[in-house]
Amino acid sequence: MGIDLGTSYSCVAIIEDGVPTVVPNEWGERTHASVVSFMEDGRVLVGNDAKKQIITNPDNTVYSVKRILGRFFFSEEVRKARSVVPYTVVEGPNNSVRIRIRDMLYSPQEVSAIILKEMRQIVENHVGHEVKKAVITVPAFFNDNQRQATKDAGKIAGLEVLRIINEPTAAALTYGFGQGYHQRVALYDLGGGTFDISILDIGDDVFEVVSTAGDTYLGGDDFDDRIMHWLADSFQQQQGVDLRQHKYALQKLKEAAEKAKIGLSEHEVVQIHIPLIHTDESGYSLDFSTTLSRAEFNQMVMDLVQRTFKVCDEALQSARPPLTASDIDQVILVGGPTRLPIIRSSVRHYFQKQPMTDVDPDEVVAMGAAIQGHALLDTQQSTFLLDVTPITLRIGTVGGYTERIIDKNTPIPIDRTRCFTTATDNQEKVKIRVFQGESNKQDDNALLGEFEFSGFRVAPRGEVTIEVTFEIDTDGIVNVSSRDVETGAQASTNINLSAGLSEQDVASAQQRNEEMLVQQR
Amino acid sequence: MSTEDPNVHPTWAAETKQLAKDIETMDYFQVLGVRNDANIGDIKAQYHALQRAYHPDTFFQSPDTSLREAVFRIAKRISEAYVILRDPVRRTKYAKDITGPERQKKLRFTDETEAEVRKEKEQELGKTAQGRQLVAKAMASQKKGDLAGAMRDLKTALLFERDNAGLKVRVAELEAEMKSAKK
Repeated sequence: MGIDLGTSYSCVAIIEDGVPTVVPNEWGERTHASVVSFMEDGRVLVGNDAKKQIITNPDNTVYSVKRILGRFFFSEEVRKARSVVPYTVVEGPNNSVRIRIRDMLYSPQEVSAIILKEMRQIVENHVGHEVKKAVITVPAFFNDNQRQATKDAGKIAGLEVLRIINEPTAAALTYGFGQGYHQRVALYDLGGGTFDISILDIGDDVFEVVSTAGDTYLGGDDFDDRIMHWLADSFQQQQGVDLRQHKYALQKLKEAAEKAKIGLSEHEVVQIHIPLIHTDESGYSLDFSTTLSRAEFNQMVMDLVQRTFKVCDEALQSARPPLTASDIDQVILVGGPTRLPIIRSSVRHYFQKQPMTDVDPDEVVAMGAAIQGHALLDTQQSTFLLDVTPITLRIGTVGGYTERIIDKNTPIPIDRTRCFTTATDNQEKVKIRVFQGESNKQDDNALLGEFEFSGFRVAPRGEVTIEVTFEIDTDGIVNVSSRDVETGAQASTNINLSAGLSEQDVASAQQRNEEMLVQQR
Repeated sequence: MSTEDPNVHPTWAAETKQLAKDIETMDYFQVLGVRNDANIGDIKAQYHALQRAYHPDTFFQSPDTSLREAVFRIAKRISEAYVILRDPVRRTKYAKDITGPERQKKLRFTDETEAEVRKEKEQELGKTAQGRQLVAKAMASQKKGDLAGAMRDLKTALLFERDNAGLKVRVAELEAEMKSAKK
C-alpha cells in the first residue's frame, strides 16, 4: 500500500488489477483527517471522527502532529506549535518532544503511528487479509530527522516500510507511469502544512528529479489562519471581544475558516455563521455571522501565494543547467489547497501554462506511493526514481561554523568521504556534528546529530587519520560510518544526540500501539 | 550468507560484483561510459541508461546481499560521476586533473578540488572591478540572445584578466552556444 501521511489529511492507495486505486473507509471517505483523539475511557478515535473532537475535547485531541515530528524540543517549529495547539507539548529525553494526554506521554512518532495503523486497517478491511508492506510519503523538503521519524512511525504501526519517497515525486509517478512521456514537469505541491516544488525530467520509465525546493512553514493551514484572524478582528470590532483569548472559540473560528476557504473554491462569496461562539458576562450567548468574498480572501493571502513562487524561482535556478519557467512542459498541481482559484490562476500566470487537473490533488500522492510499492515488489515492473537530497549536508567546524559535505539537489544515492586527523597525543575519540541547512553558521541549520568515533590506535597526534563516509541512501536518509585509514579497522560510531527514538523506544511503542483500542464507528 | 538471485543471470551478477570493485580505479568518464568530449545530452542519456541497469530498487528483493551491496556502490558512483560531468566548470577541472601526474589521487572529486572550483567560479564572474562589470554585461546580453555582443564583452574582460581560467571556460561555452545557434 502507499500512504500519504499528511499534516491535515492522510490518504491510502493500493494497486488493484494493475491500477492505482484510493481505498475509501467503510463510510466512503477517501481522505482522513490526520487527527487522533484520546477518550476518557481509554478508547482512541482517528480521522474525521477525531477531528470533531478538536472542539469538544481539545486537550486530548492531537492534530498537525507532522509539524513537530522529528524536531528537537528547542526548535523554532516546536515553539511555534506550542503557542497554537490546545494539547500539551512537553520536553522528552534528549531534547525530544512528547505530547501529554492526561497522565500519559506520547511521542509524535507514536501519534503518527496511530494514523498509519488506521490507514492499514482501512486497506485490510477492503482486501480482507493482512497487509504490512508500505511506501510512505514525506514532503520533499523534509530533513533526515523527519524522514527517520516517519520511518519509525511506520515501524511502530507494525508496518514494513519499503521506502520513504517524496510527495511531489510520488505525484509525478502517478502522472507519468506507463505513459512513455519524454517531458520536463513541475510539481507544485501545496499541502496542509508544507509547500514543495519539484522539477522532474521524465524519460519513459526514468523519473529524474532535477531540482527541488520547499518551505516547511507554508501550507493551507496558513490560509485558514488568515481567515481566522480576519474573523476574530471583525468580531472584535462588532462586539469588543477578542475571541483569540478563548481556546474554544478559537477552534470554532478555525473550523469555520477552513470551511469558508473550501467554499470559496466554488463560490464567489460565502456566508459564515458560527452559532453560540461567545457567552458574555451576563450569560448571554452570541452568534457570529458575516460574509467573505473571493476578492477579499485573495487579498488576504496574496503574500502567501507570492512566497510559493519565490520557492519556484529557487528550484528553477538551482537546476543544473539552470532553467526558466518556459522550459517546463507540464505543471501538475498537488494538495487540496491547489483547488483555490487564486492558486490556479497564479500558477497559470507564472508558468504561462494551464496546469494539469486530471488527477485529484488530494489523492495523487498516495497513488504514486502505491505504484512505487508495487514496482519494488514486482520484478516485472520498471520505474526508476532518481531523486535528490533537498538540503545541503554539513559538518560543524570550529567557532560555530560549518562546512559543506553534500550539496542540495545532489542525486541520491551518493556518498562522500572526509578525512580527519587526531589533534592531541593518544586521542581516543573524534566527535563530529552533522547538520542540514544552507547557512555557514551552525545555529541556522538543523542539527542531525553528534557522532563520536572511538577505538582507534593509540598514537601521537596527527598520526591517526580516520576516514568518515557520509552516505545518503535512496530514502534520503543519512548514514555515517568511519574507519582508520591505515589499518582499515572500522571505528565504532556512537550517536550522542539525536531527535530519534532508540530501538527500545520503538519496540515498546509498538507494544502500546498494538494494545490500543481504536474505536470503530 | 547470500544466495544466488534466480532473476539475474549468474554471469551478469559476477560481472557486477567485479565492477563494484573496479569502479575504484575508474574515472568518471569511464564510470558513465562516455567519451571525454561527450555533450550534456549524451551524459544525461547514459546516466538514465545506467540507472536502468543498476538502480538499487530493481534488486530490492534480491536474496543475493553481496549483489545488492555491489549495485548500491555502483549507483552511488554513477550519481557522483553525473554531478561532476554535468557541471561545465567542475568537468573542465576534473578532465585536467585526471590527465595529470596525480591521476590516481584525483579519480574522485575531493574537497581540495571543490575549493579550487569555488575559487574558479568566483573568477568566472571576474576578479577585477572592470572584469566583473564586463562579465555582468555579457551575461545580460547572452540572456537577451545577443551572443556576439556577449562575446565582445567577455573578450574585453579577458584583456584585464589574462590568466583567468574560469573566464576562459565561459568564453569556450559561449563559442559552443554560438556554434549550435548557427546550425
